[in-house]
Amino acid sequence: MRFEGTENYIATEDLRIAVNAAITLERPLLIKGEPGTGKTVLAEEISKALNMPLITWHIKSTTKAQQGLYEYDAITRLRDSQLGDEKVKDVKNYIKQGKLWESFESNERPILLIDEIDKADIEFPNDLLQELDRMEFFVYETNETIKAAKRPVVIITSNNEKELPDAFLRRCFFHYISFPDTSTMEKIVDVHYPKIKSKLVSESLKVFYELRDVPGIKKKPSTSELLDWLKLLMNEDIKPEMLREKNANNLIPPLHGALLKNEQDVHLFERLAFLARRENG
Amino acid sequence: MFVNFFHELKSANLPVSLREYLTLLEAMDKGIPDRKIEDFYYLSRSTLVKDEKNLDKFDQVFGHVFKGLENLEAAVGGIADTEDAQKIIEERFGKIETSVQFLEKEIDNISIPDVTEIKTDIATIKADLETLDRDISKLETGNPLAG
Repeated sequence: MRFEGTENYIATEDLRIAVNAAITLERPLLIKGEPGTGKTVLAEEISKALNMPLITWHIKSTTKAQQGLYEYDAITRLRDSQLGDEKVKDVKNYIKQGKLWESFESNERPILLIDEIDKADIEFPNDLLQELDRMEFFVYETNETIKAAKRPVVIITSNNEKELPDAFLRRCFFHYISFPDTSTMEKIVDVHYPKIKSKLVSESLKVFYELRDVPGIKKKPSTSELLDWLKLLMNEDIKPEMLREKNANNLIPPLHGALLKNEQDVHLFERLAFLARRENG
Repeated sequence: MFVNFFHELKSANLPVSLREYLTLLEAMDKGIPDRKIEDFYYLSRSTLVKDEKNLDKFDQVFGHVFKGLENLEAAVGGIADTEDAQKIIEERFGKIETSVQFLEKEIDNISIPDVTEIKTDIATIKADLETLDRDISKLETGNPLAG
């Protein structure tokens, strides 16, 4: 079982090695990288390429580790007991399976995506150490141990908003998705919009990388923003010549809203463009 | 295996642990990397480095420890792969063969002089030497200055 990238996803050699190591050695794979470089999409693509079911667990600031295992719904049980419901006699009726449990009980070996683990509080990863290591946990209410039938492939993504605990990191493989270089980016664009005019691509890539290099910009545009922008350019049927225009009044690239998501960045860019125009004129 | 590498990482203040090192060995055992230095580099990086700020440090240590291996591989793999190199080798072997043939011919052509001729030559030289000796002793006895 080897992951080689898919027709929709360009995986670099180092990413492939990391994914295959995580699959073979049954350890979690921690993916970091700038927002929009395809961290979450990776799990979806592995699931598609290897034909494994995908179970996604989105983490929020309020998510607790226990919720991934199971939840005991005491309130419903109390209400049912007052109504005299027969269900109340069996506690199992009030145990709600979490995503981790779900992945442990899957018939086929699944992929478990723990998305944006850094959103939760610092104790969250530590609380999952044993469960991810041994792939088993204990349900106190019913006195049973849940063990993974087939150890799921665990993909964890992080946006680096919080440091992760060392003990947790030691157990993972780690991959940092660096920002793709121009040739990889061309491949990515080609995969997503195969019919796009090549001239438009090279011109827009030039504009895009220039924009990323503008000093002091707050939120650098990333791959997903580039893809959105290209989609817009195609829809509006913008000519490649328009992107190259350097002397006209519109030094700001057309439809820049897809690339710059921050008022300050737009202002900064406008100012720089204005200065550049003055120098040229 | 790679203990040296592990210690170098440790002394470069990279937070590597024994557990991660064992994971790397396990992965090598399972044959994750093909027999390529790049694959090994990617594997060891994703096993031992857990923070992108340490990537540069790791690269430095890796380059330092495994310096030269890459070139060795290129040198060994390169010649066998290129047809040009094979042609060069064949040409050289051809040249060596022709020169061996030439040497053999030369050896055949060397004429060995007749032994009997040499023997008579030696005999005449001996006779000449004896007469020379006698002449010298005559001169010595006839010389008033001698003795």
